[in-house]
Amino acid sequence: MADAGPGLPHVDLGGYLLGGLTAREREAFEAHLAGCASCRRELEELRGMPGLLGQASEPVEVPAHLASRVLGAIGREPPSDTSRVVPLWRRRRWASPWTLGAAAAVLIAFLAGVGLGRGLPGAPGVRPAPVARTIHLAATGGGAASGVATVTPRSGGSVIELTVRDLPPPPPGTFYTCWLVANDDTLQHQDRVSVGSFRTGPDGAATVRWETAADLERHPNLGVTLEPDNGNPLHQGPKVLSATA
Amino acid sequence: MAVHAVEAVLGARPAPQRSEQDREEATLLTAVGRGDRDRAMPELYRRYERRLFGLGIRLLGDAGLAEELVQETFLRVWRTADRYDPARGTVTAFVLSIARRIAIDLWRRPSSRQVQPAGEPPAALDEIIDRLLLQLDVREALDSLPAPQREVLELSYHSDLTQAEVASRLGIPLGTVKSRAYHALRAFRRAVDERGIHG
Repeated sequence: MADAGPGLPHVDLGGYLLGGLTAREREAFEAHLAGCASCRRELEELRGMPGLLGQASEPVEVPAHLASRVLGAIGREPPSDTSRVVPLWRRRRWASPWTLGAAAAVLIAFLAGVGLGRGLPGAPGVRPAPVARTIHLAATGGGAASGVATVTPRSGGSVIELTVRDLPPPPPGTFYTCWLVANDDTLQHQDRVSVGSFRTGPDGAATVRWETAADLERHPNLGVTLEPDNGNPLHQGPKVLSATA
Repeated sequence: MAVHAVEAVLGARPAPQRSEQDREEATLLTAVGRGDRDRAMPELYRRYERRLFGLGIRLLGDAGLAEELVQETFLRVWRTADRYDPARGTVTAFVLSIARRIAIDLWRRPSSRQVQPAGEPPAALDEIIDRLLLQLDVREALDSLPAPQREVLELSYHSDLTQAEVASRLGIPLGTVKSRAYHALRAFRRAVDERGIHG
């Protein structure tokens, strides 16, 4: 009893690793191993596998209805060209050349406590009538940058129009992102939805318009951050604009 | 005696290499980013459903919350897919980073408390999620093996049976068990390599 066949290791190599040999078989295999470099290499390659086997979770049973539930919810989302963040190469067309000049350095801020979903009329459980809300934004650091966002509820979501001025063009490799943010959002435990991203022109201005399916009751706050263009959809960069009141 | 070397295996993880699976998933997510919810999205969903539901049920202890985790994760994947850049990371990293954040949100939700242990140390929670995802990845790797190979591995590892006893239990020749044990370990190694669990 030795090799299992041409190109194959000793027949007991698998059993040795899995602990399935008798004492006699194990001694014989170890004697073989002492003189067989290829079996030693193979043993080394597979040495970690039994330990990993012990790490395997119990089998997972997924409810049969889950796929249709999730894919159905996605099917009810707005079309992709309006529901999600507009790619940068498309975002640029929104950059408007109107107004205003130079910019402050780094503007950091965030819009805290602007309850887009708060205070709307209607009894509990009754959807409030669509009411457009206007939010004035300012640079948190006290710079010249400012903005105005209008949020108009629509069936299945909202339309957000944002105009900014005196916001310097983002440095290469970065862009601005507008977020809807939950009240308990933190950098470590983020609960926010990206509304869209944009760049300002040399004049520091831009006007953008997005549709979003975000739940404004869950994400009632609006803000703008400066984000690295690294493919990471999470918020990473500094806050730039926040609500003034 | 089984050789338990998981620490050595995990401690020696090299930088992940892009596998065929990574490339396929990058193609799928790119298509989703262009709005394909009829073909690419269901296929991408199929690949992550079990892992995400498994994470939810083990972390949150409740099937309803686990379903919510899966749904919220894929809704956010749909909404952010066009920001995915294949050059900067795998689809797995993209999807799981979203799932991790939602899982922590759900864990923190007051209505989830009744099924949670006391205390809420965020660092420990991250470690728990890492461990659960590893366990689910290993399970997925194991489940990808042909049933006869998986059977021999599980029976050999989780019991104190000798190979002769395994042969008797399964009603197959001893030589088949020996051969199958080796080939199953080899296949398992490939499966965990493909998932970036092991180099």
